[in-house]
Amino acid sequence: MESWVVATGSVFLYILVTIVLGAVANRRMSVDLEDFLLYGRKAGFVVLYLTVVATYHSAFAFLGSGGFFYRHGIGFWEAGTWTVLTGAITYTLGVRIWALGKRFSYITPADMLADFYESEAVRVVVALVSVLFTILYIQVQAQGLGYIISVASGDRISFEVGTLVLMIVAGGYLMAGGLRAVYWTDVIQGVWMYVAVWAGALVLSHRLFGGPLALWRRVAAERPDLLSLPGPEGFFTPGMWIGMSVALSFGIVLQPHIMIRYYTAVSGRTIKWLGATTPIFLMTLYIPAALVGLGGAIILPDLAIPDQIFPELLVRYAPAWLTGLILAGATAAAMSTLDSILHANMTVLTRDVYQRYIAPDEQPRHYVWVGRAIVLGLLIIGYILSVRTFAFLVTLVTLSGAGALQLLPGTLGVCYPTRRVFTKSGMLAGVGVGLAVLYVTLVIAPHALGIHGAIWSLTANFATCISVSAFTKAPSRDTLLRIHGAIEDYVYGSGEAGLEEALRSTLDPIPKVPHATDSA
Amino acid sequence: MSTRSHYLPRSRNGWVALVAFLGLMALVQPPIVFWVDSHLGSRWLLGLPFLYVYLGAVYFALIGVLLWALRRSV
Repeated sequence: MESWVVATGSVFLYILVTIVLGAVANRRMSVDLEDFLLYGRKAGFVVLYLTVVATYHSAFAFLGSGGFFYRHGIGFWEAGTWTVLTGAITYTLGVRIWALGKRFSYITPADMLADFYESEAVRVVVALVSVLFTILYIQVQAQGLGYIISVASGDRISFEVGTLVLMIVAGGYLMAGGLRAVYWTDVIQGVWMYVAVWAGALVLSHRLFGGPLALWRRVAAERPDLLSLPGPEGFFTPGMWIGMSVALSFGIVLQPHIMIRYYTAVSGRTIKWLGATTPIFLMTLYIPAALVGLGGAIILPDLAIPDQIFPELLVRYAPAWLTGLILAGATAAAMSTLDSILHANMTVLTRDVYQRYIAPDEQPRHYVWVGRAIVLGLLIIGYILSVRTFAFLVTLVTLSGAGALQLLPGTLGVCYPTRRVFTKSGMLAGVGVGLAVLYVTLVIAPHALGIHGAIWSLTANFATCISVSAFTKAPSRDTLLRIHGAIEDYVYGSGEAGLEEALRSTLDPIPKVPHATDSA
Repeated sequence: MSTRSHYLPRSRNGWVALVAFLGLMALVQPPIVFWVDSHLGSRWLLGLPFLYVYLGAVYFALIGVLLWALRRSV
């Protein structure tokens, strides 16, 4: 059998598995917004673990990380810092977001921030930031999918057709089964991508070098510049090191597709387990990526596009079955992020825009169908963006990584009670100034003084938020008592038992917001 | 309602976890990591470059702190 048939067949076998899971999830789904959007807040540790790691690691982790090691060397092992930080943020901040979501029935990040800051403007700004800075990842993942299928088939299936087929599959199972389908497919995708990248790296390092240790010795002998900081091109300066640590931990956690996952946990303890253990998966995925990237720099030193190093090595040096297994793993990495971003944007647009401002009093079934229509619209936009080139997209993609990071001061103001209370004016001014500084330090004068734009923008955001909050109106005492009181009680008081008791005694936790749990 | 800051731990275990995590994180951030690279970067450990092993060891120690905090219900 020809190798391209084996490789393409493996990818389509994987796709078939996800379609079956989506169909089963559809049969289990009830017509309930919390079920469709939040998995009924019943996600246990294993499912939540695998969906978080599969969502966090996108096509970039599979293709881009090898490219980074290939080009910039050992400095990319810095990735461990942001993966561990992500765990710590989940452990400390994530559990508070979960508790507030459970207590006050929040569904989106904007629900929480708008409730605390008592502001519709905050809701709109948070929804806009959430959607704008993640919608482009749809395009990025879609392009990754098209590229993977094109490589697997030896260009017999075009990039455009491959992108279209895989986007339809991801959107299809999301529309059919909601977040339950996303979570179930993420379980398969998380396991598959981890096994695939390790298997590929180990087989390639044995075939090409005689093993991982021999690979490291060859790199030291032939490309010592790859084994020191700041790397061959001087990329990993101290400012970039710190900036990437912050942007790729806080910045990703605050994106809606990760933040919404916190709401879905069955308990706060589950979130803490998640925080303590996800770095093991997230960090160790970069170990084989180092073997691929550094080994690739020795074997194929003149590759025009470093991100292609993994598939190029596979196609040239790996058996067909392994190439198929790994490209299916790469497909899993891209699809698990794509479906999560589609779901997050659908949730934000359905909840924060449609349900809030257009049709507030409809039945849950109506919102489920609106959500499906929004997914369809996002798929069409994502497809057009992925097969055409727009100049403004380059700018937006550059900004995307640190965009959601601008929600950090506002989110901390909600989740960490302190004497210095942030105000809606402070929060909004901080986001505005932060985004403006981000544009300057990423687009006009990239990483000025060798410091990552994320650090510049976050510093300006915090300074603005704190100073404006000092002389503007704080949230009402009732709101502070209600939300900060709930946090105080959960973290230092009665814990989850108290939370359950408060839920039983509260009929309408969020006034004015249509209740999300009404079943049809 | 208490207005005590939530940024600072209120228990001994909380302080231990915070100080250990921040201390270890400082070991993998500039300037320390660049000092390690320039002074010890040419050495090898367990058949691997020292910087690679050093960073990996600190990352696992950081995960250890998180697991310890979980075990102690911090």
